[in-house]
Amino acid sequence: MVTAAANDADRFGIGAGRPRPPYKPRAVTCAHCGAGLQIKDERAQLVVCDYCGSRLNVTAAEAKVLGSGPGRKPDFPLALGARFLFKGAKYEVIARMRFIEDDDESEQSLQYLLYHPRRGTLYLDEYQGDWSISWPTHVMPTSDALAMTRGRILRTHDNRSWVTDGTGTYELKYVDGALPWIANVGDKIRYAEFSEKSGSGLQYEAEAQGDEIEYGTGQSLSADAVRRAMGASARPAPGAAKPSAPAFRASPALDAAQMRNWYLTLIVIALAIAGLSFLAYAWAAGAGRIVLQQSFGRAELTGQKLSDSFHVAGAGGLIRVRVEAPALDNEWMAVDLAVVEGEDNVLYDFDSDVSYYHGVEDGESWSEGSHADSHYIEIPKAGDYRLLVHAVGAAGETENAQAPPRGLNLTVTAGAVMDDYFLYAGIFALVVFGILVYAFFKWRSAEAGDDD
Amino acid sequence: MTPPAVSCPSCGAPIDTHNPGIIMAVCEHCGNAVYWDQQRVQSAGKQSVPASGFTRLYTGAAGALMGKRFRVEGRVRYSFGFGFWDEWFVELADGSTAWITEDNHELCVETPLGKLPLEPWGNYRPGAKINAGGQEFVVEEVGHAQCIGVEGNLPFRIEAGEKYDYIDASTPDGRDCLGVEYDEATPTAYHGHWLSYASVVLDDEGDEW
Repeated sequence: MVTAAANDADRFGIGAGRPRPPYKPRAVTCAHCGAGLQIKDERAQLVVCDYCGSRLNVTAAEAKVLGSGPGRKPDFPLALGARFLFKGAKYEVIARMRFIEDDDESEQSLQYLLYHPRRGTLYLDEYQGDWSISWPTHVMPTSDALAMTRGRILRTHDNRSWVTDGTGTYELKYVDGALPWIANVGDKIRYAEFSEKSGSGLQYEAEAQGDEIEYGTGQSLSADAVRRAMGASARPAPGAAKPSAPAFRASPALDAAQMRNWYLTLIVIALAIAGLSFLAYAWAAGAGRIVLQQSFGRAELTGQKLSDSFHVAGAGGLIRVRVEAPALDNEWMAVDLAVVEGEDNVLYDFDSDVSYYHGVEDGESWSEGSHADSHYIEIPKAGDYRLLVHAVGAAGETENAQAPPRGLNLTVTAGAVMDDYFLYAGIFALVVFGILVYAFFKWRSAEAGDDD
Repeated sequence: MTPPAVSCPSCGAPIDTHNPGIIMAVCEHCGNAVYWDQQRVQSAGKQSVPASGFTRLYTGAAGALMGKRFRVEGRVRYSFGFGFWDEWFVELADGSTAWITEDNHELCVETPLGKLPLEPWGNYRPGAKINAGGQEFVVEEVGHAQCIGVEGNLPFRIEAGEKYDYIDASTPDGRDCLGVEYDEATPTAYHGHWLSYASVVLDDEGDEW
């Protein structure tokens, strides 16, 4: 049985194609020096003669000289005619360009136009040792790509999100080879570059010149990928010097998406550490069991006074001794304390200073010091203990000790956990969080390249 | 309708046509263009034939377009002043026809959408929006086209030197394309899809060159 498809194929002869016509690069003669030149891409509009550097308009039947060479040739690591392997196809370098950004000669990027007669053209870029390759796309941004600033998110109509790498203006400083447009040294192109938010390494770009805006997409290339793509086939033009070795950054620079992700990750980690530290502080502050709460009057503190007995159970452990003088008012107290086992066996002695001063200066209230102080003591074993207390103090700014100005309260907590470290860790993490947030916004507001 | 069997009035070589929609053919032996006018074969004179071998497609190529067998019947090359693009006329296995636009190796397959009442060509700039066929398109390019060469079989009569203004646009998602030709008072629109490299497979295609 003959199928409908076979009938169609028979009727329209679609089953039989012709062989492809041979690929024949176009030959032109330099109208200035007479050198024979070969044009790989028939769309070429501008050719720069390899021999005399003349710029030739090759759109007419006869090549027409547009002007002299474009100035000093940069050190291109890829020669005209060099092969570049990408996705299994061998491309050839048919043109090279050097751009600078915002009149800054140090902000240089080298661009290569790669050509393949079946697959078309690609743009290979090298900026300060970072390499990338791009090709046209028609996927458009949902907002003005050229109005973005670094770190901002741009969305495109294929539901991708991109982080702005930077925007600016490129100026063409040098061109050679053959181009499908008439390029003039001094041409300025507004650009915006983006990295995919996910950190995939994919890139998106917008370029505007005159009334035209074009979009491109591409990817960064590792040094190994570039070396493999170049292989050993890079060859200089006849008579040309051997090209310089390609430059690679020692460690690939992070793109904007990766930088943004790093900042946000670190900010979240710092915030999480701060939160956990404060939670731990709250838990530690409430840990343990109060085994002694006792108040002492001023008179009791002038001599040495033993507290009531308190019991530490289990294998001992930490106790927290909190000294509090809530009535201190522009006064200070120095309290000598000792942990006494049984009747008179002093295990540890320590002192505690509490002072609280406040006032109004230049119309503003101020205060310093605290009404309370805490100490942690390691108790080696279970048993009954007491605290021996003695205090001195004074009012005002005098350092001469007198009788204690106020009474105080002692609170002993058995099974305590040192909470200060958690508090310090939380404060430190908060400071780091603040520094990171500041650095993130500073990075976003800086021009791309400032921190490279 | 049976495709017409004709010979070139200039050199007598047979002109092979497959599709009944063919109106014009360029003799591959002498480059003379012929067209069918009220059942008579007319000569339109020798046409400049575009160079071959640089493009992804070529006249006579066969292969698969989005899974359907197709064959390239002919092409028209247009200049836009500082470059050019090719319009490939293709027929598919079911007898239908389409155009594949190849601009710097980007491919877009299009079929006629008909007349599209739009503002005058000069009112459009890149970024402007056009509604066509229920879709919104964004203008990417506005320019002047001039035919600079034809070859093979075509569904209309065209000669080198003919000019028109055009607008190229895409849907914001980059999937669909719209070509508008200001060939008459009311422009003609073509609607299509951008093609990935892999969606066109040619029988005779190698990456070596």
